[in-house]
Amino acid sequence: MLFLLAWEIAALLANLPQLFPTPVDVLSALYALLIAPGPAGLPWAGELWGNTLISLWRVLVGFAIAAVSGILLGVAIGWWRNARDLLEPIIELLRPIPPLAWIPLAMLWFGLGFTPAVFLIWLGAFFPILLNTVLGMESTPKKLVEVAKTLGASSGQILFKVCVPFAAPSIMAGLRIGIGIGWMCLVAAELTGSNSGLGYMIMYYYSTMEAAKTVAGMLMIGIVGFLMFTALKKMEDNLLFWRVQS
Amino acid sequence: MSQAKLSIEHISKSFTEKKGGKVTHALLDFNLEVAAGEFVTIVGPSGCGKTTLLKIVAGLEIASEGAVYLDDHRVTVPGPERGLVFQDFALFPWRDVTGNIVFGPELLKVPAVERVKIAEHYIRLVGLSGNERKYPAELSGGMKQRVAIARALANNPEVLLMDEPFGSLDAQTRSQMQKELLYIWQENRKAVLFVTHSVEEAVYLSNRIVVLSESPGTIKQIYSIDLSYPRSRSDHGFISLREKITGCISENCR
Amino acid sequence: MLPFIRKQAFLVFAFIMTVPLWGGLSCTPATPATVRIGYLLGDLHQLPFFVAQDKGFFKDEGINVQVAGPFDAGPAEMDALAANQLDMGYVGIAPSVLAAARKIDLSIISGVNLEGSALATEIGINSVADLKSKKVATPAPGSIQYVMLGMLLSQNSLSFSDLDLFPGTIKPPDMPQSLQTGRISGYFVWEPFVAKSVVGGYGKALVESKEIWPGHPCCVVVTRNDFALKNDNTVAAVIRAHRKAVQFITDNPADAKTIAQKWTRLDAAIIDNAFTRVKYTYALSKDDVKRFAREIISLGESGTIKPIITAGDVPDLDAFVDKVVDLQYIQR
Repeated sequence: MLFLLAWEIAALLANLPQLFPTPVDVLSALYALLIAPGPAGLPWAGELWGNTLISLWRVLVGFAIAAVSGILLGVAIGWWRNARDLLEPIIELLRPIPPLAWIPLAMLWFGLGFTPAVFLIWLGAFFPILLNTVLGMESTPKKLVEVAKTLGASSGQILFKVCVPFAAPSIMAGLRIGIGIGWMCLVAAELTGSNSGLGYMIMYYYSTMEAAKTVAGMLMIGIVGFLMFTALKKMEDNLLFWRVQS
Repeated sequence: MSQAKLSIEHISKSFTEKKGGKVTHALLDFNLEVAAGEFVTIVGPSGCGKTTLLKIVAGLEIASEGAVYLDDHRVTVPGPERGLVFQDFALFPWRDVTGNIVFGPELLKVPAVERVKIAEHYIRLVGLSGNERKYPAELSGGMKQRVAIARALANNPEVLLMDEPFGSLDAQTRSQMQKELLYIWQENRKAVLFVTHSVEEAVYLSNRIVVLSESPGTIKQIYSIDLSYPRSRSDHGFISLREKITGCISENCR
Repeated sequence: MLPFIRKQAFLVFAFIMTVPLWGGLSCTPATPATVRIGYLLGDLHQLPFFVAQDKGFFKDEGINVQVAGPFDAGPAEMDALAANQLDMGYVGIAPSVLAAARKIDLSIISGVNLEGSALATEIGINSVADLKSKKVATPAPGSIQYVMLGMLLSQNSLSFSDLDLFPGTIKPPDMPQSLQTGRISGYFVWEPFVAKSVVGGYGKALVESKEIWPGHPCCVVVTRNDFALKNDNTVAAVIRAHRKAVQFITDNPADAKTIAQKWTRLDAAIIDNAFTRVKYTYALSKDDVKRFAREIISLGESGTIKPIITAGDVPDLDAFVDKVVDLQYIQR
């Protein structure tokens, strides 16, 4: 509240509405965006919700692919020495490349709009999920594996009843990091080769010098990102309740 | 054909150091027979190969020479007929007490109805009633070790291998657990091969005590304990045996 | 390692940058005034800016130009101007009008060129109507090309909602390649990026901007008013050099093309082709600026484009243009 008041006063004093909108400007911009017609295909949703839905859909698809591929590959690498020897050099080479450096290639391969954005989200979310899965698998204590063996576990049972459950907290942490990075990649992807979504929306209003609407869009990006993160954290706490005891 | 439940014959275990290729013997020509229902304890200075021996019997390590037989069948890999209990419990943190105990039966595809009965039985046996739904993070050290013992027993093994199971417990819990272990053993009459560095614990629990020498681990002496259960730690015979074995570990054996 | 090299490079760079200063010091008592001037990414319309640098016209006027940019599109450049990152800029008339309507205190003080943009399309497209539902790119919303595509659509009784428009999310230099690979069917942009597709043989100039509005204004020079107020002589000197450059291009087109080639790193054929569509002039007409502002407003009102400037933003168009357009520098 105090922050909003300070913002309002600072913005009023600066008196540069095109660069530094006041909270009141942003609120009225939010309202204007709510009632403006939505992007192509979603005019009923309004501009703000329409673009939010488009962005969310992209991020969910990209994230889902990243989760499935990252966990499967991570389990494989954590379990089979051969998979590790084969894939680790490739992964170590690709991993340091920032997802945004892939934008030109993404456009070249996948054109414009949905697919390159999904690709970039996948790229951003994939590595943290993969690495956390591998890390979780590899840190399975030897003792637990030995105990399982003496209790009669086959190697498949050791994988699915010991290593994978043990890696679950680490995998969940990977998912949480992954969705955060994926969301950032999405916004960046929508600034290039796109004509819908929240990233595009803020770029549009930046171009037409409507700073209040730009800030309103940024606010939405922040809120949605925060909500996704919180939802995942909640899910994590529910799934992994066994480790949060006194 | 021997009458022993478990026979350990001419076991040697050596390690070759990566640097220099020097060969170290952890165990050298170890021979032991454990009869059905017998409680045998191995004591010795740390680093004498006690744990290595237990792991070889469990099938988790491979002996350089020699063989282990269970009822005259040679064993080389782990199997549910030899239950193992570790010092640090090694419980599955994502499973509650019941979940940990039925882990073995679950692996062996025991039907669910049966598993519930098994869990109930062993939870009562180790005195954990009322804690069925608790997770390892909520349990004290003593409770965790009870779960670990129950988990090993739930597979109805023929031999129970215990690697310093009470080593990380405080003195009071420890003596409580010793009493309970004796009770469980007397109820089940499993053969037990127990490793500890506490001579007092060994004398309190065992039918026989094997004293190992330091590297290479060879048998220095075997003592039979004829004291009747339950044993009193202040009993004269108890004390003199304890002193004798302690002396045997550090110096010479009588 | 890296910061060290960068520091060294910076020192060398700083050293080189001071070289012109020595001459200034020894010849004239006044040190050259430094002006930060912005420009657009690969925009051939702004050739006078490069000719003036290449031929030393700025130096002759005692001006030290600090080149700022390039910017992907005019609005971003106007944003930098408003944020005091620039003193002057070569920029399109539409973003200048837009910025002024957003109360950014600037003046349009010289023309740069007329016409010089076009709608480039795939060879198979034969009319504007053929572009219905097709992917079409323009520079950022609020750029000249964005507005002029709106005018063209309006003349053909179409609107932006009839196209799958990508405004501002494909950089102008990437547009020819996007057309070539079939990711888009057309684009409306500044030269030489129309010529590139035409000469490359995979695109054509379906409609030139002069067909939409003959002799329409295009790039202009703008200055921040607080800068001009304090540096009146410097601004005048910049415009003198700019005029000299425009004159040079008119008088020596061959040399101008060589400079253009050097700067854009494009083939002579592309530059030749692009030159046929650009008219360089420093002249500036208040009526043209007024018409541009009116076009932007009416395109928004008719629903051809999403409203950018409304009549409410600019209640008195005459007063607005009188305030924004300052013709004194090209007359001095």
